[in-house]
Amino acid sequence: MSERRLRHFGAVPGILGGFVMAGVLSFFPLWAASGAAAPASSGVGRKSCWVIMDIESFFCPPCLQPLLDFCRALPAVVQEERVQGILVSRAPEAGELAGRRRLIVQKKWLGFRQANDIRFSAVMDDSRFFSGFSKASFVILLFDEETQSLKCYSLPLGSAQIEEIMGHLLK
Amino acid sequence: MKLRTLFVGAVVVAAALAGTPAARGSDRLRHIVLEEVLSIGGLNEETLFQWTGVAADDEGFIYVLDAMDYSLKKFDVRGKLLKKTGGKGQGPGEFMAPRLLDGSGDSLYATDQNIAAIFVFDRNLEFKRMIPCPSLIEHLKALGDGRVAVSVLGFQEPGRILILNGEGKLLSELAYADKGSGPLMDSISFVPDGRGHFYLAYLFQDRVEKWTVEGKRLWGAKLLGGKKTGTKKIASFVLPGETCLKGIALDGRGHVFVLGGRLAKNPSRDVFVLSQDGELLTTCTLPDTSHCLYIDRAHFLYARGDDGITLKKYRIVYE
Repeated sequence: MSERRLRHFGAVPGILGGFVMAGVLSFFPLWAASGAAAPASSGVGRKSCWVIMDIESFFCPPCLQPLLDFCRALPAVVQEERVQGILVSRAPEAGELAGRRRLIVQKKWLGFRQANDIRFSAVMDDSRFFSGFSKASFVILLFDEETQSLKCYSLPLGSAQIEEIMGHLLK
Repeated sequence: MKLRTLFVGAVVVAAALAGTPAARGSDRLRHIVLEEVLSIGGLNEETLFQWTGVAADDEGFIYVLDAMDYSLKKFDVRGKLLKKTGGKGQGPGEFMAPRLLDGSGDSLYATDQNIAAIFVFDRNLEFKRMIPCPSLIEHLKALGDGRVAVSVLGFQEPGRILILNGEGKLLSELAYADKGSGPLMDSISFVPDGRGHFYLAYLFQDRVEKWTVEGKRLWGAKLLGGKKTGTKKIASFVLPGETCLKGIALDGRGHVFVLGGRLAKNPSRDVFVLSQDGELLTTCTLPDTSHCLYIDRAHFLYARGDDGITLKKYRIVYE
């Protein structure tokens, strides 16, 4: 994956794209090493679309609308088999407070997911790996096994971007 | 002789006590304590996810709007979920962004952040009708007899409180705001006292006021030492930054409870208790941050816990 290709694909600057790729390769080495098409699996590293969600958005229900629009565009089976959510925190918290806030966010995510029939699950980024990743509240990482590349999008998405993602995920 | 002396002494003591501030109506209040009596929701339950509005009726039933699952919920006096209605959508009784709630008689009045109308439900959570409103609603209070008072969001216009009948017809209007104070600077929480007065707490100004329904300002008070909110620029608009005050409520004794905002010493937790004349009587601090205050007719105070997944009910103990 070249820096040029990341710049071409992504909605984020090239240096950030490089950061993402470096992160993916180090954070989920098994997936990165396999190089194979992502099969339907519950493993985080095998999903071909990651939705990175800033947990602060879950304290502001109207802020969730772009995420909802994205989810609405994805068929249920695609959400279940190809998408993985990752909840990230940017707040400098530690200790008991952080632990409680983590549980609160998980509760809010549960309510939001049930009410909107969202089928993909989400994990907490306890390592805070993605905390400094992007200023956007929601970021989509799309792993394209065919071209061995990574695409990155910030929500809200335009119709062309949604089509592009759908085209990839429905392959 | 001894009995007469005792009687005179008792009269003197009673007269002395009657002259103290403690015996002068609401001024007697020197201290309050909040005792938690009920907690609904929480980390181990799936009943509340982001509650926004609350109301309670005279029988102790509690009604809650939840923005995360777009619902209106009814709980019994012990906090057991009895019924849930609503859901996401734009059909009758459905919400996109539920926000404010109040009740009067058999009716519950709810608002949606993006809809210029009031949803009317009965206490069994059956949707009844919509009351049209001329603009998006910033705050809402039921007045009884089917009337409601709403403050409306006018981005460039001074703030107003409108009193509407059950069909949405404008009955009267209270223009409380200064002209040209800036976008959203007129945003308020308000509460009527049922005797022709409105108490206003400005969200982005350190300012509490009492008005007559005819539009006469009776007094104003500052609770945060005159702190001013900063500004933030969104697109081409300069908007106020942090909140000064967040909510206002009245107890049955005529005390005015004001919740401090992000600029308070304990952000979103400090509660200022004022007399009907605007005198600061005492303060207390909520255990957790809240976005609003609600006090029912039995003197119970409701506030948020755990960032909206818990609703706390407190008994107000007057000392």
